[in-house]
Amino acid sequence: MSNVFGKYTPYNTIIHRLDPRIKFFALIALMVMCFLPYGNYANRFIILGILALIIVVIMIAGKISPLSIFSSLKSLWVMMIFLLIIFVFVQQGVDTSSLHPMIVFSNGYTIYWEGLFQTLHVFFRLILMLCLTLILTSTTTPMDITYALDWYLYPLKLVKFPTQIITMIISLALRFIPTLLDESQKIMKAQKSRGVDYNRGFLATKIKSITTLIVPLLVSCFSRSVELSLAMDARGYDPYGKRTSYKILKFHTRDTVSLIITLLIMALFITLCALCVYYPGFDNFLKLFFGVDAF
Amino acid sequence: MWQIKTNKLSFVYDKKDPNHYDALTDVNLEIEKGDFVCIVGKTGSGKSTIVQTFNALILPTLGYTQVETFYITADKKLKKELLKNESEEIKKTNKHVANLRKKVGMVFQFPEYQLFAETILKDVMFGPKNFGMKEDEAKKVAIESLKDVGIPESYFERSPFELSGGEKRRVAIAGIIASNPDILVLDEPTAGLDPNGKKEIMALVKKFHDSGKTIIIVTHDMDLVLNFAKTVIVLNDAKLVEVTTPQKLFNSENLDKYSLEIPTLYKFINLLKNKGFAGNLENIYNFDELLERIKEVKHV
Amino acid sequence: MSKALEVRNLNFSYDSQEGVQTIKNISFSVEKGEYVALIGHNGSGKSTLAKLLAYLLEPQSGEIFVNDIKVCEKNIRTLRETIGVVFQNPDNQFIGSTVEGDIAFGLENRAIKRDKMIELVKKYSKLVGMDKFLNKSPEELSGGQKQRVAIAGILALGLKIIIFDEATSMLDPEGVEDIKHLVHEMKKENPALTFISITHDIEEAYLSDRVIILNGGEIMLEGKPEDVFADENKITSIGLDIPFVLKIKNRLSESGMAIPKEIKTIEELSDFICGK
Repeated sequence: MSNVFGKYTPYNTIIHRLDPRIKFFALIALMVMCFLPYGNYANRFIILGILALIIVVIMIAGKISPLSIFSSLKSLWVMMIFLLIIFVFVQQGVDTSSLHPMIVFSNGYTIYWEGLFQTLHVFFRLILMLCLTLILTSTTTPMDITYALDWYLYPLKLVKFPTQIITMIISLALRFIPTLLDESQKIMKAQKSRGVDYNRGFLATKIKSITTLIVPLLVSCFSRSVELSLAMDARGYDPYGKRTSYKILKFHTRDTVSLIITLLIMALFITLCALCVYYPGFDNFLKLFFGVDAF
Repeated sequence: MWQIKTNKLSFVYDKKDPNHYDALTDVNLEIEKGDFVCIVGKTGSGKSTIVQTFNALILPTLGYTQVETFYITADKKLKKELLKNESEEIKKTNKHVANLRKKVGMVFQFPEYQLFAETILKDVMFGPKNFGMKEDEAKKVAIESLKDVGIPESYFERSPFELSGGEKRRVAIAGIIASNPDILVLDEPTAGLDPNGKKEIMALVKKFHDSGKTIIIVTHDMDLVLNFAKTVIVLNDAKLVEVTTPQKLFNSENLDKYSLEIPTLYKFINLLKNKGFAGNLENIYNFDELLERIKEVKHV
Repeated sequence: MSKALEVRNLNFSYDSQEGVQTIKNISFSVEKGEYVALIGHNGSGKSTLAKLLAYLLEPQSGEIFVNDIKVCEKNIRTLRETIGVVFQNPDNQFIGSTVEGDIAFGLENRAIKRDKMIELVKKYSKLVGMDKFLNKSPEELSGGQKQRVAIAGILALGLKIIIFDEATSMLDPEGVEDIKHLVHEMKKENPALTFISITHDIEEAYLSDRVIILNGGEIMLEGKPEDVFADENKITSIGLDIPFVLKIKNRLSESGMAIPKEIKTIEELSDFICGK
């Protein structure tokens, strides 16, 4: 089993020690900040850049290499190219008069700067979101994420929604991910010994190869789940019964501080956004402050 | 004449992964054709790793494993070097790992987990077909090997998932021997079986060995080693420490050093030795011989 | 004194296997503090019996009493506080994401107060020698260690009867020794604990207080190990082995050398043969 991208890393940094509920909240808050409208492209890139800076600081504090996101997700490049093709070659909007042409072909077909910018913008946001998720998953144990989720689902309990069942299912699923990964490795090795080549062949062969992994894996999952349910039953698990919790989440000073910082960051970006939307001229920083005509 | 050879074989798992401690350091080993070999050592000694190099599921990071004319190594430069003076035919064989995997049949621990096809027959035919056999030919060998492992014909069209644990394992083994490998590697073939099931599986392996195949078993079960092995290979802390016979191994003092379990027979002999048994206790190979020695001393 | 277990005319068959009676009219009882070995080959019904005893399956007919409590839906809470099972596969019974989480799982189900839980987890993880690994996740542990955790989870609940359902059959020799040793310690510490061990290990069975041999869903033999294994032909006829010590004893006594009945271990036998 190779190092899974986004897998929990057992360090003991301040980010690791933070209350998972705070991390969860900050994750959502910062994600929302990535999606607010900030005026023209120049503005957007400047503001996303500030956000990126904040995120990189958090990543370094949590001992996550910010570059790992590029090396780990090679498929990102495929996506980027795909987006680029769509945004650059498809004419955007009906009214192209406000756009800035980059290349004009002899037959009148025009590629606009906006297409390139839009791709970069989407891509930028995507990477920021991935980074945020990465921070959460690699500094928080799956169990802690479940606890946080359970806490946020609390309002549903008031309407008699069985949230504890959902969190139990999630935590069991998370608990068995490494076990099943290990198992799939074993099955693949066994099938390779029978002549299966998972890397070669065309679609039909590929599908057949995958079946040799999926079927045994499912069979094993079923037998595991039967045994697991027996073990849980034997230890007195009652999904609707009253349970206490061994692990409780405690709010420390550091959590309060982080919460305040998160709220301040939110306030900052929301203000920026509001200014961009409601104050004419503010949606173009460069022109406003430096007199540069950007778009 | 050796059939499998390892030369300065070392293997290091991905360092990033803390769960893998099972590596190998500088192993030089030769396994004879037609031998019955048991590879023993405590958990984490590297015994499962070394057998996986035999059919290139794991590639040695340094040095190489050689199975007849097939070279197995992750070191591309080394492989080129090794193949330089070989014939064109050998170079060609080396290009396709399937040639090797057909030759070295690998039965993993709990092989019943590899079953996937709709019927038992189809599952057993899967390997031979992957190795290039035609449908009817594969069917023929599949039927043969199912009979060899004692699965009645009435079962052939059933789903493999309806079988009992012991039967599933026999079907899985049939799926490997159907490809008619020259070398059969088994990782803990008797794990989790009851005494009857163990006897059945081992009788099967014995039969396969009698037909001239090389058998390599990775196991913790010292009674199995005592009863079946001709050669024992002992690994300890990722190193090869001994190539010997079961009798010599169990009569030596080294067992504790390698944290190996001693068969009850030898535990008892050692106790008698320590307590000053009046007779000769050297070179005892089985239960009856021990009884004779006791009877001699006790004059019964 | 009341019995730890009392089984009367128990019958059971699975819905999926029509016409196959897995358990046929079984009756037996187990005293408090007894160590009973339940042996028989795969398919003899021993694991099914274990599940019936722990009320993980509903008997078709017949009655089971655990510490005088009738095994039925109404008493399920009390039953779960009396009898526990350590299963075969160490992975599939590890429910928590860490050692402490897993030991606490049963306590959480019982809605035990958190302070008390912490205390119990500490105490019993120490007892099974896992107190240094409280934060470890299952994939960082060996099979033997996972089984230790399972045992701690059961002990923490204060259970009186523990069933080992082939609990060591998936472990390496080190793990097997480890668990055997732990059971021995537990027995010494708390003689009132009742153990029912479903096993293939004939040597282990030979050292138990009582052996029950199941064959085809029925009790074939039952009694003290030396009596049960005395009938060598009957034992080997169902594919079971004779314990090593007994084999030597039998052979030697056939040749006219009398060996006292109380000799059970190879240590004792070697002492006897060497005249000590």
